[in-house]
Amino acid sequence: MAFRFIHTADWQIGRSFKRFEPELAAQLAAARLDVIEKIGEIAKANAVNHVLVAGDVWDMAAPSDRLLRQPLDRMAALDSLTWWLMPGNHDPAQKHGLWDRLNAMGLPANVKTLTVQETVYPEPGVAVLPAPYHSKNPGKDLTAAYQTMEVKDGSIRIGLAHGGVEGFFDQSAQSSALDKDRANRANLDYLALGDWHGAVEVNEKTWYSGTPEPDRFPSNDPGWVLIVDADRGAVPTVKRVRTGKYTWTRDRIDCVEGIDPKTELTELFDAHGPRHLRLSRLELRGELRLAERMELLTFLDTERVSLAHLRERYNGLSTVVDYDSLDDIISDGALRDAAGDIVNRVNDKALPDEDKAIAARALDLLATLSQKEAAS
Amino acid sequence: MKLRALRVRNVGPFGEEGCALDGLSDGLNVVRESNEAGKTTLYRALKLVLFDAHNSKKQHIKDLRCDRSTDGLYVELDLEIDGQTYRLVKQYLKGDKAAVIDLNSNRVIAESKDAEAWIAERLGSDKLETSSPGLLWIGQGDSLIQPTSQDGAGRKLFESLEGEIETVVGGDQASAVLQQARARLLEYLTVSGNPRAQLKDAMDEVERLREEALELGDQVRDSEAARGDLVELEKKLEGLSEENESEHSKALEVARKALYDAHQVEEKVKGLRSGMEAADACAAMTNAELATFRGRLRELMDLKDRWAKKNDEAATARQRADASEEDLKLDREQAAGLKQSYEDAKSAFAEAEATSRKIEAISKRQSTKSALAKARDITRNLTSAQKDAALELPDLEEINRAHEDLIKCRSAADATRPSLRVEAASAPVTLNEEQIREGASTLLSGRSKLAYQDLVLSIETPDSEGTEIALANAHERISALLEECGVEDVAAARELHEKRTSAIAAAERLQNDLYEAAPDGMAAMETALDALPAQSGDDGDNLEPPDVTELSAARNDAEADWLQAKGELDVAEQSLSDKRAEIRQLEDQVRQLTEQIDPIKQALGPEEERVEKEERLTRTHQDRVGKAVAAKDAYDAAKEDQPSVEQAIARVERLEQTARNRSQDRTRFSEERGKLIGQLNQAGQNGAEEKLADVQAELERAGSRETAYVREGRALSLLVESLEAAVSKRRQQYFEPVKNVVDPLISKVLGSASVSFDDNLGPATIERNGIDEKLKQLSGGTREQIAILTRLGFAKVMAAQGVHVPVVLDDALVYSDDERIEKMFDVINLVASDIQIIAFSCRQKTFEQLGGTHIHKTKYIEALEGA
Repeated sequence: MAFRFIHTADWQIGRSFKRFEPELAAQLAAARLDVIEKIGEIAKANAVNHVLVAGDVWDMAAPSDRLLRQPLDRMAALDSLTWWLMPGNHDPAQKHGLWDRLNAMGLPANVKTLTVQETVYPEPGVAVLPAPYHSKNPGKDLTAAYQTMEVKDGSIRIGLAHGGVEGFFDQSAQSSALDKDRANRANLDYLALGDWHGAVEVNEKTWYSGTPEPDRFPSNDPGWVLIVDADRGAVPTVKRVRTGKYTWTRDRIDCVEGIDPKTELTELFDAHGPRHLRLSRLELRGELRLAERMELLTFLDTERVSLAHLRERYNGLSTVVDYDSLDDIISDGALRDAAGDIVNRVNDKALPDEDKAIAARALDLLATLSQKEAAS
Repeated sequence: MKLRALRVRNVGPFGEEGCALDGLSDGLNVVRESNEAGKTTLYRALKLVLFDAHNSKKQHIKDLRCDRSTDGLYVELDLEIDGQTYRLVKQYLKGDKAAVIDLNSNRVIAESKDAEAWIAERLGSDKLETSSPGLLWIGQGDSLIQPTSQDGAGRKLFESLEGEIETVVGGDQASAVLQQARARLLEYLTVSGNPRAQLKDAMDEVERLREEALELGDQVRDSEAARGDLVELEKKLEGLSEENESEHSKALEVARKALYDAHQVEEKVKGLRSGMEAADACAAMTNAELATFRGRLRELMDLKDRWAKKNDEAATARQRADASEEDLKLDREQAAGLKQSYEDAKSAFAEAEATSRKIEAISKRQSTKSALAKARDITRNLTSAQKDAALELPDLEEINRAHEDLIKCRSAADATRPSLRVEAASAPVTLNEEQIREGASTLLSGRSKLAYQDLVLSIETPDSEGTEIALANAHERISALLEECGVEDVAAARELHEKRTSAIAAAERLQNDLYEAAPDGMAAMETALDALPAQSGDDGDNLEPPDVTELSAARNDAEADWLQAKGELDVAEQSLSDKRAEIRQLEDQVRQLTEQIDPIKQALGPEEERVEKEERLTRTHQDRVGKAVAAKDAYDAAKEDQPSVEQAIARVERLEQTARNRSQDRTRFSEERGKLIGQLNQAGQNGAEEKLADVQAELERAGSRETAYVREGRALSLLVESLEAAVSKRRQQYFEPVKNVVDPLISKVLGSASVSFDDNLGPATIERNGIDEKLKQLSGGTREQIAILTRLGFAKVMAAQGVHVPVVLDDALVYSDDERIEKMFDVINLVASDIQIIAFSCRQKTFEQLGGTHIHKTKYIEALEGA
């Protein structure tokens, strides 16, 4: 009989978002805790009794007592579930570290910590082989021990590990390279991994669940949990379920002179759910005439307020400026002279990019102030 | 536009009859009137008709109305514009109206508002209100006000320069944008480029967050370090566990047992050592006995040999001494005889010496007596000579001089004395009762009494030349000197001097003789004489002097012989004595050797038993040596196996100390553990790592904000810089033609100079000799001149563009000195060739030099009739 469980990881509770505006920062921090309830709902809706968390429950090795307490209280409230928490590289099980403090605090009955590399049996016939971190960088593949760990015969063998799989993507300094064939070598029925924040299949028995609530502008696909049905000797069934509240996107618009980018931007901002839950890092590239650029800036200023967060980068966006186009905005003699001087700088190939960017901004300011003055 | 005539009624002092200024020419027009003649009134009327609407009720219009009239103010102005002449007519306050009349056709071409609009348009503005005349008109008291472009005339100038209103409007816009850009820049940077406001706040925030991050980082590290310390501490405590403790206790017990055993062995070894030392001592003792016995035997033999030798030496010495004794007797006898001979010779000599001394003493007494008598003679003579030499006399030179003076005075007196000669006399003639012989003459002096028979004449011879007095004085002087000498004449005085001189020489000579005779003095000589023995008659006569020399030689020879014999005898005596001493020494040595031999013999015992005794001692010694060797072997063996007590003690002490340390460590580690756990708990509550993450995130945000502000500041700086450069460039372009006209005019008055303008076309600075001076720093006169010259320049520029604007000056040049006024007059005349200038002035004499067309006031009625 298959064993159904939720595979999740990288909750990163306590991650700071104070690089955003305070209100948003608080909301993002709260979302990391709220997702626990969301997982609980999904578990309930899918008749799941166990949640395996593959490392990095907390974002830091020494969170405050309050931060330790908060997820526990939420998990405790969802007492139909058993939560299996394993230390990762962000929250390793160091002596007198947070896991000892948790034990000292007193864990809820339905919260289990996997701080020792020994097989546990969530249910009869189901063996979970954890590979907990005891330091930030163990310097070895902790899953290698799977092959020598004692497991009761006939048990469904589920590995629970954290780190980067060798050759799968770039190794971070804090990851331990995991054997990509570990599931087969260790005769596992499923290997639940954490560390990579996007939900991705490594092979048919090996998955990264990713973080249930995105926490950065990703180059992967976060915001999921996996409902896994694992059986002895069978290929596991893995279903992705959306849990992320906020959508973080890296967006890019290639501007073409003469083509209004506003429509495309509008479509972009309207994709991926409600705007007020959308965080966008927008890279603008291409070329625009000065007037078009000013329009674009005005448009983005308007759109900004509807999004949770918008951060633009204009490094790749050139302003096409010639003296004819200046007439559209600046006709006055002295203003025109000043604009011409600035335009020369914008178009000066010998100048460093930063100086040209400054000149472009100066031109924007000149155009804006001139238009305001003309209108007054 | 040119003004041709101005007529007023009911304005200022001009009542119904009004006032007119007609015949205003193209160039310079001068209205010179005294004070209170109404010049300023006419100036104001001119301004009024051009710049105030006819229906205006402003106070300055009411003030301008003539007090004597209740009718409206009436002003007419004839204008020439583009060759056409017009008349602008306005009436104010009562029956107000305005009209423009084409004087060619005599038609009214505009009235009321149209008329106002017509004139405003000609003045360069679409509104009359904005076409104030400030640019080119100087009112009384306003000569220092500089022209600006804040009015219609300024616009007119700009128009003249640019020809496009838009450009003028744009100039304002550029300034406005520049102002805004500067204002925005100030939100980031100060004027000197330092961060302020938002940027400074952002930078401060970054700094603050960095510091906070550092602090939190330290806390996190401290916390991590505490955790690490706790882990290490617990490892240490584990090492101090009970299991380890029992091991240590066992080790200590073993060590103590080992120490006890070591002590036991030590005691045993000590015993063996004592035994060994005792055996050694016995063997040594017997060895010493044997050695002593043998030594004594050897010593005895040696002493016997020496005793025999010494004994023989003593006998030999005695024999030699006896032989010497015999020889010595003869020498003694011989020496005695020589001694007696010497004694005899010595007595003879002594006797001879005494006799000789006696003879010498007698001789000496006699010579001393002779010398003493001689000395006494010399003394007597010396005393006499000294007495003569001590005679006190006046100085001979003085006597001689006095004598010479007397002779001179006498000659002089004689020369002046009259001479009396008796030529013939029958009776004796006496002079001063002394008869004068016949034929003899005599000299008269002083009072003379001449008698002849019964004639007695008293003749007073005056001393007119003082010669008598001088002669008398000379007499007196020489007489005094001679009296002092005690003589009556000079020769005697000289003789006394010679005598004294001789006495002095004699005294000196006798003194030397006395010294030779009695070097030590008379008294010493008498004393020496008294000391010599008194002479008796026998002693001196019977004594014969002995031959002391011969006797002395005999004595010496006897002495020499005796001494030689004595010397030889002494040597022989000494030799015998030495021999005797040697004998005694040898006998002492024999005695000592005997004393040494006897105890040894006694110690050794009878001679026949000595060999056996030696053999017995040898056997005993060998036996004891054997025992000592055995004892040593036993000791060495025991020592080799002996454990080190020190080591055992050290081990016990070390282990005991270790136990104490462990106990203390347990206590201390437990305390530290408690502290570290508390520290970690506190850290847990503080959540430093969380806070650090927050601060780092905030820092990232603040850093981005700072960077954005910096970039914005740079962009604004670039914008301001570009705008300032552009505005300045444009300004230069605008003002170039104006400067080209104004600078030469100013240079004609102030010397080589160049004026620069601000944005409002107002003169801002003047450059002279390479130095920029702000206008407000200049004197009133110079500013006044610049104000006028600038206006003239502006008018010239506009005239060059075909826009003719008259320049009106009402009592300008009030601050200028005579020299500058002259120059100003020259320039005004120069400019007047291109523009119309109307100058009002009360300074009739000064402004007479101005030149131009002199405009006289006429009455309005007359003017109309003339027109």
